[in-house]
Amino acid sequence: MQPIANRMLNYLQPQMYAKFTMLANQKGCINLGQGFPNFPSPQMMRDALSEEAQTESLQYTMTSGHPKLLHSASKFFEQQIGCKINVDKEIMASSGAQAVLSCVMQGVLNPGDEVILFDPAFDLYRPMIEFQGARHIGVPIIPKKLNNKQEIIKRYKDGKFQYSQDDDWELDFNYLERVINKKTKLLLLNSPMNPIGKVFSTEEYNQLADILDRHPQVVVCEDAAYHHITFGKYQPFNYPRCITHPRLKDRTVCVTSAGKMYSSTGLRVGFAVGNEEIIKGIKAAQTYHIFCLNPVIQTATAKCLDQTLDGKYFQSVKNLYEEQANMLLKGLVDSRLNMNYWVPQGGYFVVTDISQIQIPEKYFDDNGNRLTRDFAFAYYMINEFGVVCIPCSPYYENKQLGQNYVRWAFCKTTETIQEAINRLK
Amino acid sequence: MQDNIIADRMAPYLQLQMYAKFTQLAVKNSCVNMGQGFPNFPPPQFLRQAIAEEALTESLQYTITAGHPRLLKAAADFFEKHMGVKVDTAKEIVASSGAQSVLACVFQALLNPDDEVICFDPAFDFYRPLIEFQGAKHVGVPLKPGQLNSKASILNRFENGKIKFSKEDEWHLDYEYLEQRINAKTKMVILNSPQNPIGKVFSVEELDRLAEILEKHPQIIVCEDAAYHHVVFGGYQPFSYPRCFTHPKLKSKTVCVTSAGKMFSATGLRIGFAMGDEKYIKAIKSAQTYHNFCLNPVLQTATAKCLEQTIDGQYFTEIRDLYEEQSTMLLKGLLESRLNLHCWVPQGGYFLVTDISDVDIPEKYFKDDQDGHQLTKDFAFAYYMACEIGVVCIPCSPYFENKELGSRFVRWAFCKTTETIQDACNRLK
Repeated sequence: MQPIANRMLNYLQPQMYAKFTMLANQKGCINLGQGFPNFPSPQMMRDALSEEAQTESLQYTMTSGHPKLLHSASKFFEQQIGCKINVDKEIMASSGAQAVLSCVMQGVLNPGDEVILFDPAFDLYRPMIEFQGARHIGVPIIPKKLNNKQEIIKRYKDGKFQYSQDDDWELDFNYLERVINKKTKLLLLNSPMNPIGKVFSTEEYNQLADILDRHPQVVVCEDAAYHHITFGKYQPFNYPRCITHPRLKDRTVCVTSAGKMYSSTGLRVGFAVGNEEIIKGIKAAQTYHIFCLNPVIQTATAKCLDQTLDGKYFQSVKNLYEEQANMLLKGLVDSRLNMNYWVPQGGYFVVTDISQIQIPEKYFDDNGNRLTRDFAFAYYMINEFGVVCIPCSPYYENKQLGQNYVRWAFCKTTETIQEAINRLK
Repeated sequence: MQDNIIADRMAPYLQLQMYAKFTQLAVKNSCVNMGQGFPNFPPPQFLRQAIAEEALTESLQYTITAGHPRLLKAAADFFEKHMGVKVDTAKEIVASSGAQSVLACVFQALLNPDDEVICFDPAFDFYRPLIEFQGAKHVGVPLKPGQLNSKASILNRFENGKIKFSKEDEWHLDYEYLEQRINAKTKMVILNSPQNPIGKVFSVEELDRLAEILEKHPQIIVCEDAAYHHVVFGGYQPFSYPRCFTHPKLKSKTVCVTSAGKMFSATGLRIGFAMGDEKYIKAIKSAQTYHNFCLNPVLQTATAKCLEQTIDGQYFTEIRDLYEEQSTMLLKGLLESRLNLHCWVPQGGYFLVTDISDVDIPEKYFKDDQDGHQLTKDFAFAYYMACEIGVVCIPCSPYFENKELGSRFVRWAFCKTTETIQDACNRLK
């Protein structure tokens, strides 16, 4: 007689990122796995937290968020994203984008509802969908082509890789239309996308809007956790978004992360912005989820948003991340590993194809269970190269497809990336 | 967009939650707010100091889902000392974003759809939605006061401005009714001690009796909500009163939920704990992974500092004495008020409850001013208080499955400054 609820049975092992971070620490590896910056958080965040700790109330505050935070966030997003936000009805704060997503799922999904995910989809989405008794459907996004070292190095100029059509990962819209049906309630879209760094284009959103016009019950959840990190022609916050698309915005809830924006993944402040009705359901979920957030971290975050309203801070952060992305990609291209590559358009990560790599057979065995290729590769990297990356099959419904990819984080110091590159030479 | 965007489970819960609503009303009408359970005296300076210091030095990146190691160690050390338990920090404790979030994770971790959960009414009104969200069914087993006390009889019991809990203040659990409502589907019993709102502290005998019943139903887990475990009056010491978590026949089947925010009179802190057998905690940690992923490290190490600094318990003895004074002050004021209330002396917690069945309430307050629907007496009373007396209290029918029974009671918070309580008492004279 076991006491644990059935919904949790598949999720009792330490979560993947935690597991690989532990391994990284144990074995003295360079950790390019879990997506947290290892450079210092901005002093303005520390100072704000410290100041607010002395003066702000430490009692319950409003469930939907501290008024100062909601006002600052609304103002910031209005200025940087160009959307209009009713601060009483169209925005809510929660304990990181993770908690926001959890409230979105609870607020919107009935048992039996279907949710469309674009694979590779962040692996924390699927459990949350299941916990609401809903069903997730993976629609794969597929690279247009494989770029080997020789091909991709041609696009390397002045320390930067030039993004081209050869780096596109494409959505099969026909496939999408086939899997959408009356039961589809939610479509989850992540842009810039973890792990591939894809930024969806306006044309893609137009096509999506065409399809969704025929399915008016579908809500779009736009995960914009990396909306401040967009490369090439895109500016921070300023790239094609569902929350600003004329035909998608009214059915969209946009999820963002103040923690990621301020390179402080432990902050645990995130936002939902969007349709009043959706926000209403999310606020109700939040009430019973965590009741309210700590006021000090909220007013400190508000201070940071106010201080960075002109966006300059984010320009320099984006430039930093772009440099690190190029540094890491070059290192992976120069490495002794025979992989295939794509230039990311944003986010924290690059993904490589590992289908050509010779992985020693022993790494495919985990206590008698046969591991997928990506996990075997990840353990091979840990044990023989001393570098941690993240296997991508958990991001896919189709594990056969997903097992060809692994993810590398570039939100790391130059020293860290260089050390990783040295170990991979 | 179509009308049915919001999930069905949320439909009964879309209105502003009760405590927020009454707090708003208190502000709007300039009432004295004896409603929502937050202290309105300053939280300890050492907490502010700890957060301010840790903010400058602690990591601001993801930390361990189960909780920052320093926090789990400090909490385990503290609870080991004050509760007399042994806690394996790697397996038997998890931190979450307030006791609220802990409870949400506990229910997600342990309740399957159609499982049944026994609540002892009056049960904190957040339990039921949390149970429903997991597709489970809540069953209310009411506690009932042994007697209605006249004002005179309680006033007579005061000695030197103090009053002791006695048999006349007891609320009793009907154990036969409890046994009738338990069946093969029952998965959990929630026991809140000290109990919000009545301030009951379950006795050893009551826990013994519960243990006997539960022995016949080995699948049942006890969720012990000990959010007020530091606020126990009379003969009990902070943390040291009969607990499921230390009861020989209940401890192995108990998950104990506590609140650092409440312990440090900082309800906005949002740090709480679950402790229990490894198999339960493992699943609760998994729920937490997807719920919050992890907590803010600064809040955690600051809380750890506070637990370390207060480990000798002196701080909590002082706090408890303060709350006991405030409870007596409020009780006296309600007894001396012009309202025909029946009262009981609480044994702990933040609140006391009064019976209002003999209070005359103007008819107009029985109609909801938004949509005109009929209100229960407790809500009518609460609005009458807010509109004409200028004091906010909380109606108790939401705490009961049986609304008829519940509508006889309202809750008053004494976790307030002397000034606030005096002001309320003046308005009630």
